Amino acid sequence: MDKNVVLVSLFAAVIAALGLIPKITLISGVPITAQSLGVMLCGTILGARAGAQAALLFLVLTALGLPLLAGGRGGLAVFASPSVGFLIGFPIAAFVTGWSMQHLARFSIGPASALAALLGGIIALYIPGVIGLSIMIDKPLLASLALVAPFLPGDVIKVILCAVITRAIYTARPQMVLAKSLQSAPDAAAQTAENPPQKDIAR
Amino acid sequence: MLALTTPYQTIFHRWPASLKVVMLLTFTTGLMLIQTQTLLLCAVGLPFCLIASQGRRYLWFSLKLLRPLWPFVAIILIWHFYTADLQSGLFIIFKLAAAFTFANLVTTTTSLADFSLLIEKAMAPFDKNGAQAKKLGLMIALTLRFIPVFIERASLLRLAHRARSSKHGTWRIIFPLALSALDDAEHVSEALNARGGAAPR
Repeated sequence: MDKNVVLVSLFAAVIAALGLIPKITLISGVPITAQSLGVMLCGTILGARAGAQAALLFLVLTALGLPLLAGGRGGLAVFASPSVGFLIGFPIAAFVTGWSMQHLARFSIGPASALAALLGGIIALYIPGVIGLSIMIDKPLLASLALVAPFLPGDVIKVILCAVITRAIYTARPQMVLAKSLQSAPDAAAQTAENPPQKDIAR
Repeated sequence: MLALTTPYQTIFHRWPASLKVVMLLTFTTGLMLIQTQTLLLCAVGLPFCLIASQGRRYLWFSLKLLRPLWPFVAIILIWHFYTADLQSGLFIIFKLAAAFTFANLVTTTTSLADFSLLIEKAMAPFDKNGAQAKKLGLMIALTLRFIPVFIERASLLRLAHRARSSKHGTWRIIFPLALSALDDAEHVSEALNARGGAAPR
């Protein structure tokens, strides 16, 4: 309970601190930042619920007027800016990453976190992000998608980094990777007969 | 801790935070619904007039906060230049700028403490005996404390790495950084536990 509160706060702080890494602003105006790496890590390490809470806590702090977004942005205005969809996508992305992580028990930690970060940190983040951009600048969805497409290579790097970091943490502090311990027994039971549940070697 | 609140005193600092937030929500919703040109120009003028009424320095301060929008402005202009429909492009830009400025007006004139109180009040109906609000308050405080600690730890590790290794690649510090942050979290949660826990029931 206490540990959860502290870890959620810590990961909100990690997302904020990653915003200090200098950003690269694309022509479309949405900056490339390391912050979505923090969101992915929330999911792969804390799991769905706590991960989403950490991303949400980060958003609350931003809305309160703290300049925590990359480039020192913050306040309510960012929710009126074209990147609003990506911000709303942060907790969703963390949740999907964590949920996938919890349901990928049959993979070892590295590939599982890479896949989870890809599903959550890219796909689940881009859906609200692109919709938000398209509404705010009043352009078709496909055009908005094209505007943010240049981010994708950077995001792939972040997915790999996320997997490497998660694996390193799991090796050194297995009890800290809550998402791994949340990999539920019912899920293992749900695995089909052709894929009999296997014990994770690292465990 | 750095905040976006303006150093210049304005009349809006004295308005209650709840009023400002409700005004902001009304304004942005209204902005979405506007179709006619005159109405739009009036709406867009409103936040700028409010800001300008508080002196030139505050106006300048607020205008500088509009900077993150310029890449979007460029895209929209280029797009509508090619589709030969510059007018609707300007419509979008004006709406964006007005909503952004109004939101900044609220942010720059409301202190963190006022916002926290507002959240506490808004949470009250869903929150028996204020336990959730207290927990949120604790989490906000912990996060604000963790940010500088984390940054400090990163710069120490970077120095240590630089002092001992001729290799490039400070990114390697990411592993000890992550582990030490998690260990900190462990210590803090033990300390919290020893002092009665985060949310005593």
